[in-house]
Amino acid sequence: MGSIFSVSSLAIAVGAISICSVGALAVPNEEGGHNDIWVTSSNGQLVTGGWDDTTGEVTNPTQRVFEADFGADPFFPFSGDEPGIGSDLIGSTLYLTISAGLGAWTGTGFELSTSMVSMSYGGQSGDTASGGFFNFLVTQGLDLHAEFALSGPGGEDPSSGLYLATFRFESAGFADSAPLWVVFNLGMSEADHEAAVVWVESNLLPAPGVMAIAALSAITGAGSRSRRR
Amino acid sequence: MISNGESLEGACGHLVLAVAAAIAFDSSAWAQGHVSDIGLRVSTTGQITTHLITTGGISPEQRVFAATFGDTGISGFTANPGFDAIAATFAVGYRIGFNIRSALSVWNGGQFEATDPAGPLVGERLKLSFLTANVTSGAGSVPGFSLAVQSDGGWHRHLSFYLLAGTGTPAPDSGVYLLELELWSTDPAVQQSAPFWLVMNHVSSAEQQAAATAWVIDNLLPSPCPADIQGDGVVDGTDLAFVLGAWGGSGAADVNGSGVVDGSDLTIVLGAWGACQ
Repeated sequence: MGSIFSVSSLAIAVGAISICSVGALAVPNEEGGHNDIWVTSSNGQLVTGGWDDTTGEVTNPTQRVFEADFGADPFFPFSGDEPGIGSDLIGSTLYLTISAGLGAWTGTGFELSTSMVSMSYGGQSGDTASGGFFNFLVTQGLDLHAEFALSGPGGEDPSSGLYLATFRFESAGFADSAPLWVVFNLGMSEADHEAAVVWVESNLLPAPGVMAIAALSAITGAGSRSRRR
Repeated sequence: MISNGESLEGACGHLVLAVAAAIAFDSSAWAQGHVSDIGLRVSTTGQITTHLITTGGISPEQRVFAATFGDTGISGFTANPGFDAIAATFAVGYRIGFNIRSALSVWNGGQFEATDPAGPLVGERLKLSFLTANVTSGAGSVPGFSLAVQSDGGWHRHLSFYLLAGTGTPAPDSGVYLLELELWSTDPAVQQSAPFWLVMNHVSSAEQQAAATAWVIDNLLPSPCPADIQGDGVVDGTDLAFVLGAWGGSGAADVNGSGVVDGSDLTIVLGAWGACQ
C-alpha cells in the first residue's frame, strides 16, 4: 500500500509512527462523532478539540480526528460544510492549511488517492492536489462553516469511499497546531466510516509519550514547516 | 433588533423595545454555539417565523437582523447571521429555501434607495451561495435555492453573502445595505415566512447601521397595533375619528389594507380599543 504520509508534510506524525507501534496505545475516540472543530491554545500552541455547536460545549478537548459526510444533502452529492469551526481566540487570525495528499480507505488503511478534496471560505481556497489555506478572523461566537468538495480524477465524479485529508491551524503568535484529520465519507456505511476513523486514531495520533518526543522535535525544528505571513 | 455587529447602545428607542421583548425569551434548547443566528420556528398556524438567538435563548418573532461584512476579516463577505432551527422543527425529507424579495438597496442617510436608481443593473449586487448553489440579487425579486432539512429535523445553515461591486468600480461602496428575504418549505404543511430584512454594514458606522435599522422597523415592518392610526400608542376616539372621516376612501384609516375604509376597519378599531398591547 502506498502511503500518502511519506509524501506529505506530516513529518511529526510519521515520526510518531516510526518510533513505536501506537496501535495498542491509542485510545479510539468513540465520542468524537461528528463534532465540529474547536481551536484554542495551550502553552502558546494552537490545539484542537471536539466542539458541539448545538450546546456550545467542548466535548473532547484533545480531538484531532473528525468526521464529515459528503452528499448529506442530495442536491450537493459531492460536497458539504462540515465540520464547522469554533474558537475562543477572539481577535486572532487563524489560517487553516490543507496538506497536499489525499488518502483513500482500503479497508485496512489509507492509500494515496487520485481524487481531490478542496476547501473554500469567503473566496479563499485550497485543495489536496497542491495544498493551500484560508484565513479568518476569530470573532465572538464564531461558528464558521467552510465548504468542502470532492472531485474525481480529471474533474470527474468521484467514487464512493472514505477519504482522509490532513489539516493544520496556524496563527501569528502561536506555535502551529499538530496535524488534524478529517475522514470524509461519500456513500459508505457508518460502520466503515467509524472503522476508518479508528484506524486514523490508532495509527496517526501519537500516544502521550510520543507526543512529548514530537513536541521536542518541533521545538528543535525537526519536521517543522513555516509559512510566511 | 440587532443580531450582531457593533454595539448600537442608545442608538434608538427601538432597541429598548427589543430589550423589553427579550423578557419573553425562550431559553429552551437553543444552541449556545449559534448565538446571533436567526432562529427558525413553525407557528401554530404552520408558518415559518424568524427570531434572534441570544445567550438567553430565542427572542419573540423578529424580522430585522443585522449583519457586518468583513466580520471574519474578509472584505465584502460574511456568512452571518446563520439560520438555526432546532431538531424536530421540520419534517425530514423536505427542504427549506429562500427568495430574495426585492432589489438590494443602500442607506442614503434618510432612507433606503435602490443601488440602481436609474434602472440599469450597474450598482452593487449581493451574491448568496452555499456549496455549488448561488444566486445574485437583481432588479426585483429573485428566486433563491433550497437546502435539505437535516436528519434530525433541524436546519442549521450559513449562507455565504458576497457584496459585489457595481459595474466599473473595483470594490463595493461603503454603506449600509438592505436585503429582503423570505423562507419557504417544500413541505405543503409549512407556509412561507413573512418577509424579513438583513441590515448589512459594509465599512460604515454603527450609528448609520442603527439609523438604517430604525428606518426599516418604522417603515417596512407592519405596525404591531394597526388600529392605532394616530400612532400614539392608544386606540381611542382620535383613531375612530380618522376612520369615520375617511369612510369610503382609503389611506391610513384603511386599517386592514383592503383598499377602502369601511365597517371592517371600524370593527378592528373598536376591537382594539385602549392601550396597544
